[in-house]
Order: sequence, then C-alpha cells, then structure tokens
Amino acid sequence: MLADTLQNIKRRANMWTKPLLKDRIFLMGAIIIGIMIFIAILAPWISPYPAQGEGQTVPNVCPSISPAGVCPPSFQHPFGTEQGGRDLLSRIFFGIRTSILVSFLVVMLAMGIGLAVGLTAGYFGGLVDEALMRITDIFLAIPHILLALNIVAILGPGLVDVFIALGATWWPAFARLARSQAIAIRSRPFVMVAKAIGAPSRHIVFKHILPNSISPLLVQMSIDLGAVVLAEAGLSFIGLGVRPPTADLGQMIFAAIDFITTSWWVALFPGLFLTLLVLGFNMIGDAVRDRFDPRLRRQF
Amino acid sequence: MNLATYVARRAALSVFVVLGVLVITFYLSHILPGNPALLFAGTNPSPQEIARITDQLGLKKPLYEQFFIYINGLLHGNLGESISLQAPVTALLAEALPNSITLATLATLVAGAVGIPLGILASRSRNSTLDNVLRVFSMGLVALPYFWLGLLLQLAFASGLHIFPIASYGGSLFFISQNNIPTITGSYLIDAILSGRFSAAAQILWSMVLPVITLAAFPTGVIIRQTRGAMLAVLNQDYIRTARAYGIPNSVIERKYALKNAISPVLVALALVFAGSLVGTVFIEYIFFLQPGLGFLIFQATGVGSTTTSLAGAPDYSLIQGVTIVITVAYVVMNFVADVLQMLIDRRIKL
Repeated sequence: MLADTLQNIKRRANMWTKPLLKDRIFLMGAIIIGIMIFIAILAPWISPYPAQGEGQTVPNVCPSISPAGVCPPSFQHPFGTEQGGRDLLSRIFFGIRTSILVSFLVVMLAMGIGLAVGLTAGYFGGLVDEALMRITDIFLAIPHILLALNIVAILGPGLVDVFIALGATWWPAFARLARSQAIAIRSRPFVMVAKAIGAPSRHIVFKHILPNSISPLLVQMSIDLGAVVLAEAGLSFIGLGVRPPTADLGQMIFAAIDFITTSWWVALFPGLFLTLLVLGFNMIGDAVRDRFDPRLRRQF
Repeated sequence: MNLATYVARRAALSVFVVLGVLVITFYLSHILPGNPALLFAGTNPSPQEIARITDQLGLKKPLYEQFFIYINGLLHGNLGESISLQAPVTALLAEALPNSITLATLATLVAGAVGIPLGILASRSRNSTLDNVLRVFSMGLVALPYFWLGLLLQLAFASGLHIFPIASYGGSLFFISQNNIPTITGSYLIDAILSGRFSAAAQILWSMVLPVITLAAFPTGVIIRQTRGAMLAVLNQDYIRTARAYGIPNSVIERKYALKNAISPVLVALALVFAGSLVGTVFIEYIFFLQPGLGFLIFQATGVGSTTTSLAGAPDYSLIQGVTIVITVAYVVMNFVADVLQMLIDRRIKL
C-alpha cells in the first residue's frame, strides 16, 4: 500500500520537475536551500568551532576591550564572535540546523494532522464535516504566532515544545485542502466503483483518496516552509523558543539587541542567513504555486 | 441571498469563531501544570494561604462553571489580573491599544501607497525584467524578519547616520511627560495633534518612521504581488481585449477599466494587512521601545521586557491571553470587514 503511494508520488513528481527546472526563481531558491540543507547536515564537521556552535563559551579572545566576549570579525572568526566569545559563523551553522529541522518537522506534523482532519471531514461529510470544519475555522482565525505563543507559554520553551506548538497551529490550511480534495475525489467514478464492490472505508481513504489528494498538500507544504522558519525564529526572539545553549537564529538576533550600537556583526550575520533561508523557501514555494495552482494556470 | 442576510450570517460566524477562540485560550490556561494559585500567593505561602487563594480564584469549581465565570467577567471587561505588572489586564490593554493601532494603521497606509503602484508597474509587462526585479524585491520583503529589519534600520539610520532617534516615542522615554501631552485618545501621535502641539507631533511621527517602515515591509511585498495578480487577471479578460481593439490607449484602459475591477481584492488584502500589522507590533515595539503597546506587553508577559522579573520566569499567562484575544478579535473583525467590503464593491459576486 505504502509502496503504491510512493510510486504515485514519484510519478507526479516527475511531471512537476520538468517545467519547474526552467523557472529561474525556482532554480535560485533550490540552490539556496540546497546549500542551507548541506550546512544543516554537515554543521558539526564544517564549522570552524563545532563545540562553540553547540553552545560552549570561551574566554574573551580579542585584544580590544569588548563587552561580554563580543569580538569584531577577524582572521580566526570571519563573522566575529557573539557574547561568551563564541564563534558567530559556527553558531549560525548550528542555528540553520535548528531552523531547518524544526520547519520540516512542523510542516510534516501539520500535514499529518491536516490530512487526518480533512480526509475524515471530506469523506464522511454531514455532521462530522460540519463539526471538524468549524473547529478548523476557529484555529484558522488565531494568528499563527499568537497561538504558538500561547501553547509554548504553557509547555515551556524547548525544541519539542516549539515543534508541537507550531504544528498545532499550522494544520488548518492543510485540513481545508485535504477536505476539498476528498470531496472532489469521493464522487469520481473509480471511487464509486470501489464502493460498489464493497471496499471498506479504510481501503478507499488510503488507497484512493490519500494518494490522489497528496499533490496540492505538497504544494501547500512548500509554500508554508518559509513562514514556519520565520515563526520559529520569532518565537525564539520573544524568548519562547529553543532553549539557550542550542543555537537559534532568532535568539541570536534577540541577544544582539544589547550590542546594536557597538557591535553590528552580532545582529547582521544571523539575520542575513535567516532571511536567505526564508527567501529560498519562499522562492521554491512561489514557483511551485505559480506552476500548479489550477486557478492561476487557467488565467494566464 | 441579499446583502442583509449575508452580513448577518457572516457576523454570526464571526461571533462563533470568537467564542471558539475564547474556549481554546481558556482551556489552554487550565492545562497549566501546577496550581495557578501559587503564582498569586507570593513567596513562601502557607498552606492556608494557598487554599484561600485557590478558593478565591474559583479553582475548585468544575471547569465549565469556571468558563462561564470567565466569560461573564470578560463581558464585564474583566480579563483577570496580570501577575508580572500587578494590574488588571483590561486596563493594560486599553492603555496599549491606541498606540499599537496607530502603528498598524500607518503601516497599512504605507503598504498600500507603495505596494499598489509597484504592483501596477509589475503588471504592465508580464515577465519583463522590471516584473522579475519586482518579483524578487517583493519576495525579499516577505522574507525579511521584522525583528532583524528593525535592528538593521536602527543600526544604519539611528546609531550610524543619526537621522532618526533610536527608540521610544519622540526619541526619549520622558518625551511624552516633558511635553505635557494630555491623554485624549491614548495614542501619543493623535493626542499631540489634537492638543495642537504640532512640533511635538512631528517629533513623535519622526520617531515612528523606522518602526513603521519595519512594520510595512512585509505587507508591502504582499500587496505588490496581490495587485499584480489582480491586474493581470482583469487585463486578461475579453472586455479589455475589446477596448484594446478599439484603439483605446493603454494608460486609459489601465486607469478607467482595469484598475476599477482589480482594486477590490487589494482593498480586501489591506484590511487583513492591518490585522497582520497588529501581530507585527509584537516584534517591533520591543526593539524600538515603543511603550505602551500590545507587543511590548507580550515581552513584559514573558518576563523579557519587565524590570521586575516575575516569579521564576513563569510567563504571565493572563496577559498573553488578553493580548491574544484582542488581536484575534481584530483579525476576525477585519476578515468580516474584508468580506463585506468585497461584497459591496463587487456586486456581481453571487452567494
């Protein structure tokens, strides 16, 4: 069953990639994200100071008088150091690791919840549909960052808590999509036939509706990745994100507020990489949406 | 369906959503680990003291009863007590809202004033170099984190070039009290104008330039894309083609025929931009030390922005809850306004 689904996704993926590869915006995004994923995976090996990237503090290394071990860019530290004397480049590499890890996990969790809610609502219809969709409406009405903030305020900051909080806020869009797909596919002849020959609901949902509804959800996923990265960094910035020794771009930017008038590099570099990461994801998402949103395709 | 029925139904849905949001935030606050009474009891409370406060807060009653007490309080303007600031949440919100609304309004105006012309420009020649440059530009704006952009602007224009003050309304924490600006609406900028202190108003506005640019960056990107998309959708229609065939100049077609029909989704988007900018203040106000404000309250609630650290860094949940409710209500209301606006502008929409 799973192999079939994967086969199906693969076939669809081939159909997608060809026109996309001609889109310059998509290519730029793909290159940026490719590099970022490379950095994220290899951070412990390519960082100049891996231990500092993971949070180890070191004594003040620069000769000049500087606050809390913040040193300007130098030969040893191309991006300078942040407070605690930690090498900024290594911290950024590890921060990208956190961002990418959280964003992928969050989007996958959101898609999982969304699929479960949406397919149930769409397939069964009626009162179940009505109830589930009204709940979805409510969740959709609360701005992502605020709902996540509320949840993290209760769970307490930390990697897993941020992941749960963001996943719990990001699913409504997926649920709506999955529902509309389920409704569209439910009435297609092949599903009718499957029903007529007595296939159980489980079979119909997993074998017919799920594989056929997955592509718009993947498009939604690519659109959401950038926003999730921003939200995660935002939570960390507010102080409700990943806990301190773990590197995080949002948290690094927050810490830089104290040094903004004296040490520009502490704010500049982490934000630059964060923006690039979001931009890369957005470029991919944008190109994918332009290509596959049926409404846009028909009009232009 | 006629307009009145539509508006009534849409309003009913909005009320339902707000109620749902209240249920969610309420239940979230009640799965808090530990006894909330401990937070109110101060340091080293005696067991009797804890029991008394538990009783006083109504924590022993069944959950649904507590919820009705909560809703009842809310309807009477009581959102609970802020632990970290030692003040009623409603009072704090009332003090914070006018300034945050002013910020969000200015940001929305900037986003519209910059985004709409650029979007029209991009739609003039689809896939031209200009269009692609604007596409990347708008994407860049959308990718910029508020909090980083704010710091960069401070770095460049405040601490570097000394053009704008680095933080606070009017450039100093005491500006408002020094200039004897009376409290009329609660919004410093509006109050200064209303009381005729124009030079003070100018100074306050000057200090708001960087925050407003920061806040407007993201929505400007959104509006550019939205305007471009809406214009292209309209320009592709048959009646435009007919107008072209008649030899009507492009500039006239754009102004008289296309823009009129393309503007409605953009106006709708602007309504949502306003609500989004209120959320954005969460990041902006702390960086620029714009106090009081909704965003500043969030930082005080998490213990970052307050001078007196709350108990063991426990987040001030009732304050966070209050800000969430206010912004969410703004969101729901603006969504409602957007839908009704769209309906009024474009009466062809059949429901």
